[in-house]
Amino acid sequence: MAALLKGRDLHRSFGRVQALRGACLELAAGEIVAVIGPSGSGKSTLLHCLAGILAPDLGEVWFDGRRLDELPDRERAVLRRSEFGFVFQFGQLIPELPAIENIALPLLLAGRRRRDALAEAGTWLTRLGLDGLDTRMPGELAGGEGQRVALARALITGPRIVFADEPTGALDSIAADQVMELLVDTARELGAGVLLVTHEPRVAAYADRTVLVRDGLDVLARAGAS
Amino acid sequence: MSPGLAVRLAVAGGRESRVRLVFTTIGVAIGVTMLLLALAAVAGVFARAERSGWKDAAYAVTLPELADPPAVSADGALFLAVTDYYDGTRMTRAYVAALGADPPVPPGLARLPAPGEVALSPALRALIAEAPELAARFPGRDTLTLGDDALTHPDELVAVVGRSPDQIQNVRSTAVVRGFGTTPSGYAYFLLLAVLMLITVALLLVPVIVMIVMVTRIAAAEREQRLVALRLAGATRGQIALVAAVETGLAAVVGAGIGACLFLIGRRVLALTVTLQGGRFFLDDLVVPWWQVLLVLAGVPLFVVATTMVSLFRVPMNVLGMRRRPRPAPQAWPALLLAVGVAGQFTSRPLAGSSLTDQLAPLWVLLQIAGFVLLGPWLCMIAGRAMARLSRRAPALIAARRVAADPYATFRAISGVVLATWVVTYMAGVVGTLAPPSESGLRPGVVRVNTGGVSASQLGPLLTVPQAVIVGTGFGPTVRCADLDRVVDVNCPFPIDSGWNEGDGSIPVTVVEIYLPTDGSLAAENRIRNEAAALVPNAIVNSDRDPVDGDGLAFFNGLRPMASLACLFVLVVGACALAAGMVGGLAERRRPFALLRASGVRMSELRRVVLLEVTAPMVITSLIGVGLGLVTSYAASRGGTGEWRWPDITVYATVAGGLLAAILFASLALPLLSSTTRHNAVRYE
Repeated sequence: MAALLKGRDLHRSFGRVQALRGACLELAAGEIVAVIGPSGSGKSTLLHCLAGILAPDLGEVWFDGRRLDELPDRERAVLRRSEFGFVFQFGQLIPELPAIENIALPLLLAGRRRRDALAEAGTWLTRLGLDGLDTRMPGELAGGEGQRVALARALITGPRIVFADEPTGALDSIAADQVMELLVDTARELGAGVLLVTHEPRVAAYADRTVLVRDGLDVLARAGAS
Repeated sequence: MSPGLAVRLAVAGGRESRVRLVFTTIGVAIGVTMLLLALAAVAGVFARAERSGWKDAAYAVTLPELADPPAVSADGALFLAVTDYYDGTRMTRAYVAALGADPPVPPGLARLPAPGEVALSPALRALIAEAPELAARFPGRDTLTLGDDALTHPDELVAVVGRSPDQIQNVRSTAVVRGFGTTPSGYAYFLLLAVLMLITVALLLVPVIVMIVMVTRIAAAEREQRLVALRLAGATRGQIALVAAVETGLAAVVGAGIGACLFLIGRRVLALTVTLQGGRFFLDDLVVPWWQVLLVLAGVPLFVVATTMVSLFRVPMNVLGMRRRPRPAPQAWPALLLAVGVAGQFTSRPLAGSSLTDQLAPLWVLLQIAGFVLLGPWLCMIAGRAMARLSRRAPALIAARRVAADPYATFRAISGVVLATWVVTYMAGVVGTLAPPSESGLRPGVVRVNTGGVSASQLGPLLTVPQAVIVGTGFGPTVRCADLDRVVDVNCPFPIDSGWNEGDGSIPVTVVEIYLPTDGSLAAENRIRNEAAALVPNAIVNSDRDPVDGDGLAFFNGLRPMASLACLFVLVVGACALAAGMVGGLAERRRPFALLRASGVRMSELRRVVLLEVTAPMVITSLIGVGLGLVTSYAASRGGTGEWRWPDITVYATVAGGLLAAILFASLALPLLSSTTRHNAVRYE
């Protein structure tokens, strides 16, 4: 299967700390890949480089035949909002916006009419089992509910790749399972690839393939359990 | 826990802590500087009033409402002070004649000029050197120099002309004085000024307080998290309070020290640049009494510490964490407070007299301020909800929801600027009402000599000027409409008392005024002034070059630059508070903004969010501030001599420009948005 996203020999340092030292990773369209590793191993940095949030010091990132790491910051931002979706561990929801507006935010940022954007966000609320929570503020949502809102926001634009950085890190196991099932099912439904960073093997098991990162290098790739 | 450990924790509290310390230091420094400068300006105005008191010694003898000058001389002296002009610049010409061996001496002189001697101020001597024809107005030997004590400002033009008693004893308005006091004849205006200044200082204080509160709130969430960690490590509530007090108190004390140094520089700048009634201030007059300095230097740090304590009180914390007490949604009841304040001000007439209700004016203003400050969050909440309903774009929606969700924080950030618009409009309304008209009513080239009523024979050379129009008693209707039309900018019929036309010829001819046409040159005007001064020492001579000066109203004209300075002060402080509010808001939402940015949201969109959050509610509440300024200035002006007028377009342009300037100033904080939402804010570790 041809790689949609490809990172090759990636190096990235923060001061004297070398977070990545020649890491490589490929993601095919619709593929779900989990990146696991101990804390400080460089897995989040790898995700940030592959998503175009960070530019690597050395190495190449390719997305759909385009050299992502050489794009100017502005073009990378456009690519992130149009082709990618993001789910982070916490703190990504705008605290002052109710759930439905948080979900509709990417559409509003893309210039969609407010009524249309909210209508589409409403369908995602139903899809992710969040009916009745549309006017709840993020602070009033349970952890799992908040992450499902974040998931809906990441998926509403129909991204080709979802980057999920410890999406269940702040959840209990039941909520974590719910979020992961929704992420995997919906991504498959949309045909989106998922790059999942986690330190929990149980969460990594949802992926088609797992990559172990240690000391800034991917050292092992194996097929997923599911 | 020792204070030393608290200091170490304060200094080593991380980036946010350092940013807050720096901003608190800067905020307190600006606040202290501005407060001390405002107090120095008040002191300067009163010092100027006292400096001008000696010139009114003759009035003080005759006007019962003025305090009698201290009698320092048994012999006394004849004294007459006349206001005169050179090329539109005001000058004072005082005549003195000793009535014995021990006459009173005006301030700034070691002895009274003897007959034939003249004492000149340095500025007048320099002017005479440039325009020698002016010397004829002060005939005599230039033997003495007037010291600073005699001058209201360093550039004042003053001459004290020595005469014998015979020469001036019959001149109208001359009085026997036994001492020179410090109470000017326009002291009522200074008292009125005191009331206006109290109101203004109260209005100036509020933005300073707001700004200080704003800077202490920067990165408050991080601080509270840190304090919770200390609790977890075993610190008691008292020790937590000590850490917080030391942290902010340290910055506040350093800021107060810097503010005091900046004040010392600022008062020199003030003395060099700011003018009142056409003159700069003496540096020695811009002195704040020591107890006021102590009050500011100790009071501001104590206030900052108290603010921190209050904000901590709102966040109950135990060893397991903290829980912010939810604030109830703002309510509209403070509108009643505001209404009572406005209504109360309409019952007092500060310009009319000194009754108890008149003196309550500052209290009503304070009530209005309290009402407005308490109502502000409610206004912001309503504005935010309306914006959210109407907004079509994501930045506007995020901003609107933020405003509606935390209207207290929003109003804290903008209240300084909003109050500034109130102060600007209020001062424009009051000063505009009290200021005299800018035109003298004389046509160019016409010189009016007001003799106060002297015999025609005393004015010989002036009466022979061709086409001179003479107004007097005993002449009958000397002013013909044709003449009037030629030289005086008023319309017929001239309001001459009809009794003047019924003279039986036995009334001695007394000339009250002469209107003398000239070629309009300064030299021609000066010749007439010199002749008039020689013939009638107490004559008041005016041309269209002179600013109108009557009954102390020119004093209020001179207030304009002070008013502008006060407005600038409030705007600068308001803009600082706005910037501090923006920095605080950015620090609080560092993570969501960083994650939005990581998700591809453009920096320009985030900038728009931040700007809209302050701009939209600021504009809405500022409009209300302008309305309040108009109402309160109208209420404050009632009972005054002038009629309240709508401020002209320049005032509104100033307000709009001020708002724009405040936004631009606060925009200086926007680059922080880029740095605070960088990659490191996305990471969890």
